[in-house]
Amino acid sequence: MSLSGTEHRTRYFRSLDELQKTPEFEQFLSREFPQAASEFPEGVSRRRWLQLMGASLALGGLSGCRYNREEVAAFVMRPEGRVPGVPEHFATNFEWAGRVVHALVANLDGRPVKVDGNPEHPAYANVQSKEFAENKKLASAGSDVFTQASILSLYDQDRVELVLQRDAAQAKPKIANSDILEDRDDSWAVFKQYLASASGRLGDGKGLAILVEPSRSPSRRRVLAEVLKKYPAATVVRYESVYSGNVSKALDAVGAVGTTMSFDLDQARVIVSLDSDLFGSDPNSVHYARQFANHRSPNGPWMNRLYVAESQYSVTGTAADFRLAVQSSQIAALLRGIEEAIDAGTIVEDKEEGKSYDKLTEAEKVSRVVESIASDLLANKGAAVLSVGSHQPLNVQVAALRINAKLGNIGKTLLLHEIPNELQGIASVKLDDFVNRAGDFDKLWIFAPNPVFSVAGDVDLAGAMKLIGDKNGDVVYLSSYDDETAQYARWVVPETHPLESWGDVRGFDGTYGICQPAIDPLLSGKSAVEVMSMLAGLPVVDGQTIVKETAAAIAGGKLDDRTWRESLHAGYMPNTTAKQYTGEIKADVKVLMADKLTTRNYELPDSGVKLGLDKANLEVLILPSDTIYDGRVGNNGWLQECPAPVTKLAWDNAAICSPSTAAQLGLKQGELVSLQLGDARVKLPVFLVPGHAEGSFTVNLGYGRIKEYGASIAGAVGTNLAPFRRWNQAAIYTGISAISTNEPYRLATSQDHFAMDDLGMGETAKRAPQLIREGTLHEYKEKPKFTKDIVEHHFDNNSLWQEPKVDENHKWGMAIDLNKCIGCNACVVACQAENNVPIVGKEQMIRGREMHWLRIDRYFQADVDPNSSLENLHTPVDPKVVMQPMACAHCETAPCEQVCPVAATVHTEEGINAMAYNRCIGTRYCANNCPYKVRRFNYFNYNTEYGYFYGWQDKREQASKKLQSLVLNPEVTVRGRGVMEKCTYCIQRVQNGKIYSRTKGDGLVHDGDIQSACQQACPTGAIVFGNLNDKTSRVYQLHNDARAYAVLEELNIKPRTLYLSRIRNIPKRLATHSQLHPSRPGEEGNHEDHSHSSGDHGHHS
Amino acid sequence: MPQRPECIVFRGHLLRTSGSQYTSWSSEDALFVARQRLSSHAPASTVSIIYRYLPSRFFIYRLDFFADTRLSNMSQRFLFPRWTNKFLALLGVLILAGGAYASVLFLGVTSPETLNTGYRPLQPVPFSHALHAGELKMDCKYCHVSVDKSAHSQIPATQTCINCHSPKTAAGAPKLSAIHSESPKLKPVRESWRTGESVDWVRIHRLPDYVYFNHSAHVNRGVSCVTCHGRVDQMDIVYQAKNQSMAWCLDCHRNPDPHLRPVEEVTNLAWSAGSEEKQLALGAELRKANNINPQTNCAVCHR
Repeated sequence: MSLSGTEHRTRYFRSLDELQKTPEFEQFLSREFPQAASEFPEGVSRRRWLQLMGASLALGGLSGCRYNREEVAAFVMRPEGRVPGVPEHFATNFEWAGRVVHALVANLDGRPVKVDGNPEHPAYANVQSKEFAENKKLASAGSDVFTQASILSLYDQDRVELVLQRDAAQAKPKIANSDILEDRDDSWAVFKQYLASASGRLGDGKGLAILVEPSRSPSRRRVLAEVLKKYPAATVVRYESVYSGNVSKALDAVGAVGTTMSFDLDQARVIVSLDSDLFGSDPNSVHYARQFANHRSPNGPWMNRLYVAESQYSVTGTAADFRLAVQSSQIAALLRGIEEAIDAGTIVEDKEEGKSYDKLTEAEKVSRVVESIASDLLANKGAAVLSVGSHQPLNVQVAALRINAKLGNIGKTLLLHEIPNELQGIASVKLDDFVNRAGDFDKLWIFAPNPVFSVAGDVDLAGAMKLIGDKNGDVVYLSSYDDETAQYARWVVPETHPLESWGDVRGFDGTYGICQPAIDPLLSGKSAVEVMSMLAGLPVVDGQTIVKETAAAIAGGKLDDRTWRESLHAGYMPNTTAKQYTGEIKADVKVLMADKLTTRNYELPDSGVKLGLDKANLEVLILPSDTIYDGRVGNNGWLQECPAPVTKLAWDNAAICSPSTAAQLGLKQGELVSLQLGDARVKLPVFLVPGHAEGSFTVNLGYGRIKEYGASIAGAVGTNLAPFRRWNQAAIYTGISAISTNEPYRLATSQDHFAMDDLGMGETAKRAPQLIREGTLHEYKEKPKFTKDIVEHHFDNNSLWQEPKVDENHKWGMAIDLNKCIGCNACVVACQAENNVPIVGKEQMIRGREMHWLRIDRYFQADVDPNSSLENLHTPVDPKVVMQPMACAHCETAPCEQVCPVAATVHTEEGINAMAYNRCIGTRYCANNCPYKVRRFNYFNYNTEYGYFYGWQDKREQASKKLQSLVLNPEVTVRGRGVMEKCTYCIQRVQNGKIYSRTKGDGLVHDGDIQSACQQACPTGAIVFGNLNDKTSRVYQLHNDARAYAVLEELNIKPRTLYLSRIRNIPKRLATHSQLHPSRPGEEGNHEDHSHSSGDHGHHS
Repeated sequence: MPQRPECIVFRGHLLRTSGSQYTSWSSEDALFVARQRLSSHAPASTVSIIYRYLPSRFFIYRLDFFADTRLSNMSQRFLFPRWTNKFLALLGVLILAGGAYASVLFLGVTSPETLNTGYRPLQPVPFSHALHAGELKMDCKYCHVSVDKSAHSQIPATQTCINCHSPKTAAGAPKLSAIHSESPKLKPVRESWRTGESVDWVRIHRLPDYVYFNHSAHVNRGVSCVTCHGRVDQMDIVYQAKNQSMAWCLDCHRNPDPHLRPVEEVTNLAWSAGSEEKQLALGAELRKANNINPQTNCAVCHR
């Protein structure tokens, strides 16, 4: 038997610690929780603890034996159709964290408790996969972390609750922190008085500046026009915290003036993403992810192929079939190579070459990648997409449009929608121009979230606000928080959350949707539209009327009540899709450059692409965070604690770079690096991610709020990048230097928490990976059953335990398709929202106490020579990523159940591993015995108690708070301290689904009647839950798929959650040796026969 | 774990010094030494009683506690005088009495039967179910509208009362049917209607928060109101008729036959199958026909 496998062994690891077997990782592996994790937090000594416990015991005896007298406040008049305990769903649309959300809000007893995508909205309904088309019940819209977490921001008690007034910049606000209801109205009355007096002083609007951020809301645009009608001399200042203006500039330059660009990935067989995070930070990510996933089945008529070239490791990069790590600043050069190859028109046949990809030099790698991409694009004209990141410079944007036009993709896979009239631009000035001329203004109204914090350091907006404020105090700021910007505003006007306000929005294709409130404003806020109309002096300033007028205009002048109600109900107004641009794309460089007026450079640089580290050419890429965007949702604990998709980092930003770059620059993980560009510098903790482009650092925006202004969650988390950022540079900063400071810094990351032991890494090297199974499409076509062969076949295990009795009606199970999962975290936050999972804070997270029931394990995979030196282990080459959502698998013979001394975790007939919280005494034996490490222990009453009692003197660490208890799902028990918890397969949904089927249905639960929260939130449909007894159910089909496997199946615990192996549709020319000739220990007669492949046998020598 | 004792003192008698032949310590070892050394002072049976009732680890631990010092300090240490020994008997009695008291308290007094059954608070309005549901034969669902639609049966809105008891308008004539429109007993209802504030009814049946009971799941499957709430149609002041403990729930989930009836008779509290045999036969039949298989696992009620 050939031992070819041992030389080039594909190894999976979740962090470099694991690959190098550092003591820290060993500790995670051998101990369920890291050392000292089960000890008391600092601040409370054991003695004090005992005193407190003694006191609570003594006091406990004094309270009565019976429940307290409870009064039931019945309705006076019952709202029509309201059934207590049965959720009502409202469709709504709003802008949130830089994207448009088409949502379905679940209202329970009058308050919103869950936000999900609206499956009937055309943006999602039109891209449902075929599998789900047959059964509409299975359809879901999917969503993202921001949508899921938006509900928590609604109940954020740090929001401003009344109009605040400041006498001077940074002074203490005059009306603050009053919880008397009358004061809220009083504060508004004072503001209205001011407004009445101000409108006299405004005159024709000279000296008035209105700061707005880009919006897709027609009402907002209409009311802003009304403001300008009243004050024609006023100046509109536009400000975009995450700059994407190069895309529209490029569209204008090529002749598609006033259009927006989007992709139709449903038609795309080849997707080339150059530094563009289509499934992550792109505003249409949910839509794209669903379209992408629709063609990820290796059994389908065709499977798409995704090429990614990028510097950071993005969500899209993890989903890629082939990914090239290259500096963002070299994308232009790479694109030039691709364009030249396309122009040459040669299609290179994809076959196994003499040298596999991993054996190539760097230059050879680049040229082979360029050839392959160009060949695939040429072979799929009109069915391919080339997308570049919106932060890339103008010449790259124009080139991408040009290449797409050359390939005939425009109108097919790349759509240009004409922006409807009512969104067309209003004459405006840029923020830096305004700040430079601040002396010309004496009034400023701000309708953008916290620009003082998010703006680049060289634009002194705070100074401008102070200057204007000191003149006569006319600085008004509409905001949800008393934040950095509010410190320089004379009036801080509370803004409503989208779930409590009227509004509207145009989707990516122009579809008009209305934002309807799901609850009255909790904290007396008003929406931007309402405050703008107050400024405009409109007779009606009520949001609903304003939106209705806009809707009427969009519906064609007249809006009957029926259309209005139907639009509200469906979540969109039909037939409002924007027209597509069909004109020519004039993107030829020579033509563009011939325009004498232009000072822009449209040419792509001819510098060639270098993959290795060039110390003289370091770059920093500054991008919005995958979890808190630009910081505007930073006070949302769910988002702060959501581990970033690839780094698994929470509560912080870091300078993310590759291990070999770090090694060569003398940087170490957990130490601070000083990034410098001229005078600008910023100190950040280093975080190593294998596969990050060499010579490149990625840093996320949104962190480093000033502690006093950052509210309780967002304050003092991470590092502010403003001092480093420059207004004229969008995202890519080249020519920087990185200097190690050797100062230590603690980062909270979940990557090694709950590591699954698979007989140690040594054994893993001998046996092929079992937790994550993957292969290439070529292999799958040849051997569809390869998934089973990845593992050496085990002898038939006989169970030590009595086989469980299975209910004849229902046998619940889940299937997770790793080929579809992109690791976007939507399921993680959805689970948190549905199941009342608390946040624990950074300090607790460092101890490995995060409570997420569902985590996404991110495995890097790289070919590592086990005999190689330690340096090589430090710097894996071209690592790939597989994402694996991991929650309780509901094993039929669950090891956790056997060790519970009090039978607190037991099995139901239907196969759910249930937790009876009230029985649990917190021995944590079950967590110790769980091979998947999915059980979570409540070290504290995270959901109710907080503060110094647990050693957090600082209120910033308070986890969940009082108003926030309204976010709790009443269908799920809120767990207390000392109790173990874990995924329940959304037992509340299962039980309610069964009850519904028997009371209102035909007595049977049909496929799709019950969707778990993660399934509903998944944008790609990777998670399917259902009844395994129903042979027609989707989950049954998936469980019987050739790709289905159980994680750690040799333990014979019979998990009900199966995974479907990952299939990479990688071209043979770009495959590594281990991808071309994978070692499959379970295969019969394995390794003997290589004759079927024409490939490389060089490794034998 | 305490450190291995250097010496052991029991009731003032030195039992063992360090360096003895016993290297490993278990309760047996200690007792062996104790028996040896105490044989002249105490009957062996005393020691064996201690052995029987003290867990081994505890035993050694306690010995260790008394002996934690060196021999030289022994004479200065405080020891209970002999006469305190007679209080040991008293202590025993106290422990027994305390145990009895605790078991009565926990098994008897705090049982759901004692605490819950018969709870009969006074309501702000002396609404008589006996009159409305009994005499007037109003259907339960007239007021408790969502009992077959939702987990909650719902306390009726003030509006529901006003349907029949509407107050007189300014003109002096009632809008709707005005039964007892000026009765002082109905004052809270009229106040609520006028001000828009709720009538604060007192909750009688209350399950713990971690119990997710669903009315619609039962009412739609032929479990009558009377099964859990008793003959409300005969109660002037409603009280809790059943203890509603978990064991009580499980009784029915294990054997629902005695409690099933045709769905249309669910709110007819006076309905009876005729005899016990007939009920059991009907129950079995209904159970089969409607595919009623109540489960008894935790997740049915606890989420």
